[in-house]
Amino acid sequence: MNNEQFVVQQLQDLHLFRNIPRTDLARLTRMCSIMTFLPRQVIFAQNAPADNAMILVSGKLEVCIHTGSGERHLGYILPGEIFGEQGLFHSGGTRSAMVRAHQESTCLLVTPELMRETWNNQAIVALEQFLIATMARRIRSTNLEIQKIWKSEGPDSNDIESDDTAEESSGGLLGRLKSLFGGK
Amino acid sequence: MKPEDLRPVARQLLRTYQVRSTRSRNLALALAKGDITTWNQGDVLCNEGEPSNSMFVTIEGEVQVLKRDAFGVPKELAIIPAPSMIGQMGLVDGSSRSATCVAHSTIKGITISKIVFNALLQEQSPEGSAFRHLLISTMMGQLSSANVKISGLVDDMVEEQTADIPRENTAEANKEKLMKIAGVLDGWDVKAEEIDNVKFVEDEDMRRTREARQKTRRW
Repeated sequence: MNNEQFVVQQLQDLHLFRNIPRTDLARLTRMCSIMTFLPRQVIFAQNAPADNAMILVSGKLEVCIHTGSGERHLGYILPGEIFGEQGLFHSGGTRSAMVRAHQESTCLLVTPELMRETWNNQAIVALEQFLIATMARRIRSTNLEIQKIWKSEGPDSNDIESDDTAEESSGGLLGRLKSLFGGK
Repeated sequence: MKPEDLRPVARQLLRTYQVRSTRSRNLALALAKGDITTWNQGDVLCNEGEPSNSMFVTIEGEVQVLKRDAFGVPKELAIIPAPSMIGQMGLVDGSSRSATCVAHSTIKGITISKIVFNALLQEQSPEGSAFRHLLISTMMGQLSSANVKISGLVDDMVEEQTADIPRENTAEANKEKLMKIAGVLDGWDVKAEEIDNVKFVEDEDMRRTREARQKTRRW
């Protein structure tokens, strides 16, 4: 099995492309560059220009950000996930986090040109629908958190409270806002 | 309306939402699938809490966005100039209207029904692709702009903790800021400077609360 056949086979097994004809997946694979990364190899550096995205076909990637106090682990990317998508649609942006290989991994490079020219491929339509659903989920969950924080600071929180309680309440609000970024 | 007449609106929408992965010709084809609608000043486009059955693209005029605060009082979140997309989030995830939209002036726009919206989401066509790219860019903009505002608010709060500012003043202003951030996430184009300009106005109750607290401290 050559590299292209391996990628098509892997893509077929992904939930994202479960209903997509093999011919469309093969076309997608031919139009994208296939990239392989060794463990700890950096795929996207934080603050680097963002002008494309990738689909993880196999392996596992790690997402980290550099802060003043060092490196903070944010999570993992698993096969079937698209990452760096901001670079596909917006120009002039930079990567907000670093992505590196946790295991040996294979990715498909997706460019804005590919998205613009390839409307007649069901795999691309599935990818766009997946991005819409993912964005909607992220917006709703962030909004829900914000509303919870906002409403918990509602009418009752204006009552006279002791300094200790006020301290806790303010620290709590700050802590909960920080937790939206994975902080403590 | 003919697709060629919608090209300028499509071009401006692509510029407003910074979409670089599609062409205005294709987006105009998608917009032409909606129905041209006119709203007079004061007309309600949608009501907070109602089911989402359509979305709107404004071509001319301004929309006033109102949202109830924690006390149930409607507050103005934004005035959105044309061209802009309104009410798309509810169609994406089936949620109800997150705010009330009122025509702030006479508005000319396009109503896209749920059926047309869903067809555009599924369609393997240049116009389907253009519409999906516009949606994705809009949502990415909402998320990244909200992220910037939340981290700004966190920075402000850290500073306030160390400064000598009466706590109830900052708490009230922070509540306002959080409400505006929720508005940004819902797609209401609230400008950063509006959030930064939210100031606490002390009413009679607040003044008495503050004085009572100061008195408690003296005891």
